[in-house]
Amino acid sequence: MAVKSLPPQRQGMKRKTRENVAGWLFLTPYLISLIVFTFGAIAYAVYISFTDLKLFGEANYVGFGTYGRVLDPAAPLNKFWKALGNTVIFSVVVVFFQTWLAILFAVVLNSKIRGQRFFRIAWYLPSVTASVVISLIFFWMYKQQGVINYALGAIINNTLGLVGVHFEPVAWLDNTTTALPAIMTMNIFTTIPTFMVMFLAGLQDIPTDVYEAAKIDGASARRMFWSITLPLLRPVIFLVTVLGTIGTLQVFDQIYVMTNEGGPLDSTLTVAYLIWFEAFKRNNLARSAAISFILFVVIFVFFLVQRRFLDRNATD
Amino acid sequence: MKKTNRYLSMLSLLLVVAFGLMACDSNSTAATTPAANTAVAAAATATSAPAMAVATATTGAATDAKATATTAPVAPAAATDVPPAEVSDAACANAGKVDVSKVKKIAIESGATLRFSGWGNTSEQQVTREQLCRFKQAYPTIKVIYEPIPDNYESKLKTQISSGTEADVFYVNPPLTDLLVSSKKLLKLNDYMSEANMKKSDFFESLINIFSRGDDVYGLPKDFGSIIVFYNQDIVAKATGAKAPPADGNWTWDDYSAFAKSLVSGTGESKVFGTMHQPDYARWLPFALANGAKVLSADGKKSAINSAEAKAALDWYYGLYKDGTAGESKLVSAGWPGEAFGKQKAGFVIEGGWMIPFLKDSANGFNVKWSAAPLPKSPKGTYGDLLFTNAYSARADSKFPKAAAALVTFLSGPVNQEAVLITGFAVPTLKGYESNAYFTDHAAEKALYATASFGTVDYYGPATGVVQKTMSDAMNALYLGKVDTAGALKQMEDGINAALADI
Repeated sequence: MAVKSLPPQRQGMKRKTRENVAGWLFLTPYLISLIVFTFGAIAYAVYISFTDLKLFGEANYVGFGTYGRVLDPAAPLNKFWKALGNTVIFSVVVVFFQTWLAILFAVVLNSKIRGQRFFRIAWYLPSVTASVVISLIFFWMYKQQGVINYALGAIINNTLGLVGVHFEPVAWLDNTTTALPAIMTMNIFTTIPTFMVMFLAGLQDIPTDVYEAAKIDGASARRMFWSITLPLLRPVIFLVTVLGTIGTLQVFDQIYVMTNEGGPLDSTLTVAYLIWFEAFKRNNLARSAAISFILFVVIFVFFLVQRRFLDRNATD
Repeated sequence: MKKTNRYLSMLSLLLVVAFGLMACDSNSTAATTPAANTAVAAAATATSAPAMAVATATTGAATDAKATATTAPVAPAAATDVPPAEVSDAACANAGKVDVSKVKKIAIESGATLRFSGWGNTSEQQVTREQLCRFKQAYPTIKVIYEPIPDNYESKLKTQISSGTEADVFYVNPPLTDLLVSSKKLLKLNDYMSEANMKKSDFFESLINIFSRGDDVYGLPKDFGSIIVFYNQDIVAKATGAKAPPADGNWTWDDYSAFAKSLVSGTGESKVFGTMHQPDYARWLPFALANGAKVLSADGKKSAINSAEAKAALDWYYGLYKDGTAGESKLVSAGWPGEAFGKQKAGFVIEGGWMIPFLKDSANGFNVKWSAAPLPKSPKGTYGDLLFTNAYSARADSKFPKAAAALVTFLSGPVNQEAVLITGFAVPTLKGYESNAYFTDHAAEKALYATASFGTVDYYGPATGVVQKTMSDAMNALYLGKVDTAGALKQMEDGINAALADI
């Protein structure tokens, strides 16, 4: 041999080390910003949740005192439990409806109907629009003399009106009973499309020969949906439910835009809004951090429960 | 084969986009992009959020007073970020001149540069710039950089103070003053005031005491707002038996009720109400205060709202709503009473100085011939009102404290305040302008200025926000029929005591 080459082992190690170093170098800028702005901020928030820090004040260590104050239902003006109740109801109802409707829409869009491409674009639009914009538009629509009351009035008075049923315009966002459902409806409308796309992808993953085999065995369309489509969509359902839960348990901007400090008599007050309110309006940073971590625990518990029931790959 | 590849790649791109959008949007908090902001500006007109349409001389507290518990919330404001700009001689070329010989100048540092922050929409910012131009005529060696903060002023200022980057001189409202004085962030102004020949007693007591701790002054009142009657002259002329309220305020609650009843016309969707009595504490409280009621005890530690005087006022106020004489803005599809008044759905409304630019703004499209009068006196014969005020303050650790104090004392001094009065933008916080020529044909401003001598500032200590919300929530419960007036007052008392215990 004219060329003396290094023994393969040393060559391989050198390349691997070089690749490692290159990899770390590329990661470093992102890692630094992640550590400082995400983990560092979270660590600081954990620290202040164990103090009694107020804005421009000094942080005195109080152990679990702040947590106790937040979780105490008898504490004066403690809105935490009301907010948690509202948030859980919001999450359960919205996730349920948005998952089922997303599956429905995806199945419809997956079949060869006319105008499929148009519907795919049209039904996806709500997810692309900024949620603040949609909130404002719905705020207008929900007014007492707004479009929704007008449409409902026109429909009901012209059909059921013949048997004497008259529709009174409802102030959707000003009634304690209708404010939260109104915002839930808006949220479902906005988030169905995103999950519909995921279900579409999941549906197209299902091999067609399974359906063909079922059809040969004489299964009806409905039977095929319940026994084939849904079980094979299980991983996507798990994903959608988890993401939906995490998102809805943190709902903030719809409440901020559409209601005045948590709706008529706190009926639309959510935990995320309370976190912002405690920090920026009541200047109580420690309490705000404590509520954030309690919310984190709640979300994590929800995730574990869903993983237990929905994730087939989970090893318990 | 190639076609399916193309479709597959398009689908995967769509999925990536979907994941990306979902990761940063979906149900979680969405960042308001600049596109969203302009869309917000387009979607939300002057009629949807009074806080946006009207940001006048009155305070951030006043804009909260406008948006009641049941009406439009403060939507993300249409104002976009304004870059800081130096108030230079070129920018001041068109500003009017003031007689600077009347200004008693104080000693300042040489080569001083000041940063100045405040809230306000574009028209307010222009008025502020004119004031800064006048300041430059008096103190030509000081360089001033104006940094407006059109929205989220409190949050932004608190963030800036946390990092030590706030301006040298800025607006404060009473809650901010409490927070900043206790954390020693504001400059004490007494020595600079005496150097400028200004005394604490030059200002109305109720206004300056809010920004002082004992005799130590930490902010000089900039302007104030209060509640007066704005009435529609056409509706009054057309109504039979309606007499416009007297300009000196010498009328009673019974006169007020009769006046409101005489202005009611129509039914159903086309009904015009006599007035608007919102379930908003800031509209009922002026009457209660006139009747001698108090929100807090003298030491500020307990609620005093559940009193016979307050109940009499609430019974009367709610009574006009119950019998249909007074309505609320949502019944006429308005965001707030000012909008209802502009749409001519109310004969008169009880609002503040923010109505003046709001009604004048051609963008709102209102064509109302209106005038104004003070609120009536109580059955006891006494007057009272709710005041909303704010002040100029300087930061304690400014690099140029003397120059900062010069700016504060000039802006709140007689020369500048009189110039501002003549532009019709705000009424002065200094005493002694009762017989000013401007008031002879400006009934609203005259009525507003008079309230400073008998009004009480809308401030209840560190728990102010909660106290205000408690009172409005109780009124909401009253209007929803969940409690009667006695129950509403009890609810207020319990809520306020709880709020005070929570500090």
